[in-house]
Amino acid sequence: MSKVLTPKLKLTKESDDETIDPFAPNWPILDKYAGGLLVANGTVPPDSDLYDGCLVSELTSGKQWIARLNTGGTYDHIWLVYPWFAEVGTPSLSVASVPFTNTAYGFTNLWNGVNTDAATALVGTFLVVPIDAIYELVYSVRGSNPNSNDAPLSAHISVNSDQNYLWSETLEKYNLNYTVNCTQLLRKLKAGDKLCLNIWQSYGAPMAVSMVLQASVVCPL
Amino acid sequence: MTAPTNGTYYTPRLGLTVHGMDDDLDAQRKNWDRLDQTMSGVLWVADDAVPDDTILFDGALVAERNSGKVWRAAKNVSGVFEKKYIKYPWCICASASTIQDFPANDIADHFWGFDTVDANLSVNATLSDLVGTFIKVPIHGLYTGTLIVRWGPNIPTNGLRRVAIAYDGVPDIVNSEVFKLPATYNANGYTICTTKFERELQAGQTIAPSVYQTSSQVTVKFQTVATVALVRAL
Repeated sequence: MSKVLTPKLKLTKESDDETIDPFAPNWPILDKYAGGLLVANGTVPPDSDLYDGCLVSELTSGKQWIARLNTGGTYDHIWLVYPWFAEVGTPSLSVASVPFTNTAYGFTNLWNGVNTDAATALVGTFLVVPIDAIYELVYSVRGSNPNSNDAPLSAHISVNSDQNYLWSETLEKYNLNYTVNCTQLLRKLKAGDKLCLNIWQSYGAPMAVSMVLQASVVCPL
Repeated sequence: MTAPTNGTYYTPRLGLTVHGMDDDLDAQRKNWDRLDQTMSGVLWVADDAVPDDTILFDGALVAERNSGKVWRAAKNVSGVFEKKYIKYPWCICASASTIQDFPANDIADHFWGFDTVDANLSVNATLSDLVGTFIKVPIHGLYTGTLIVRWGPNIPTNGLRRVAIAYDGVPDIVNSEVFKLPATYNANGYTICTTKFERELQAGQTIAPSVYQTSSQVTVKFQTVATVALVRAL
């Protein structure tokens, strides 16, 4: 007896028993979709390969999404898993002494990343987030204050140039000597939102500042 | 089942052959419908809806169409299906709409929480996620959050200002930040205390800031804001 088997699950597709042959087209379909579709990183299957509720997994990125049929007859990508992390920073910049006046400072380097690179994470000197998601943002700002006076150094995250620094979280510390401010916040962001830091200080002279921002996806939307 | 094509019926999503011209095999057609509905991908449901037990099976993946929540059906020993969340987007950004005057020299814990939820910065959270002025978490999970309080503008005075996380109305004084007011001030400066947490919380547990000051400054303006998010459902 000869049999034709599907490649992964080894389902019997055809045999000498003619009575099961009407079901033959089913087996390759089941074989294809069992466990979800596997695709190369960044690949979107053609609509003809998708169905409403189909799970699609990228081979090595760890990303996984669900195809949701929309009213236009095409498919939305509902991210189930989206590993993404970016650590961006600027090793040295000079911040003028202007009390309570925010100036936007961007990032010159991508120091670490998961599923990103400098070309996509940084647009100009803004960190740009890839998808709609809840993000965790951690940032640190280190300023040089060698004269040991109580010099405020304030920094908050700016999203798309907003100045709402209560919502964005402000650090305003009166520390001595070198100041390392570090804080964390959670923020719902949309794909393409641009992040930088708004900083001011009133030390009385330009202050040498270095800064870092770490951002990761907590939950895709 | 869709309309027949050349006498053959197909399931609607995967296009499995339900039955064709060979009647001997028609008895199995229910299997194909079942496979088409349950084995492949996810079951879509309206937000907060639960599929009927005749559709669910142990291990079925269910996705809410708009909320983004995805859960796996797990049959318990009583034969009832429980939700095991794989994805539960939840984030609340809450604040107090009124800038209050904070008492001077008051070391009693003040649980000055929230009465406003910012819809633009929140996910699957509304005013109903507040109990009184406390944030109430929706499900058992690992949570992380940041509480920010701001006093000011400062005037020259001495003392401390503190914010701690209060779980179910009990301040965790270790999970806090204490700010010692400096000897000199920048005109119009503010005291900002920020504290963060990560903790396993049960559904219904509450979070609020617990604040006090030993500063003698009176009529100091006080504001508070918090963001809390679910990291992982348990």
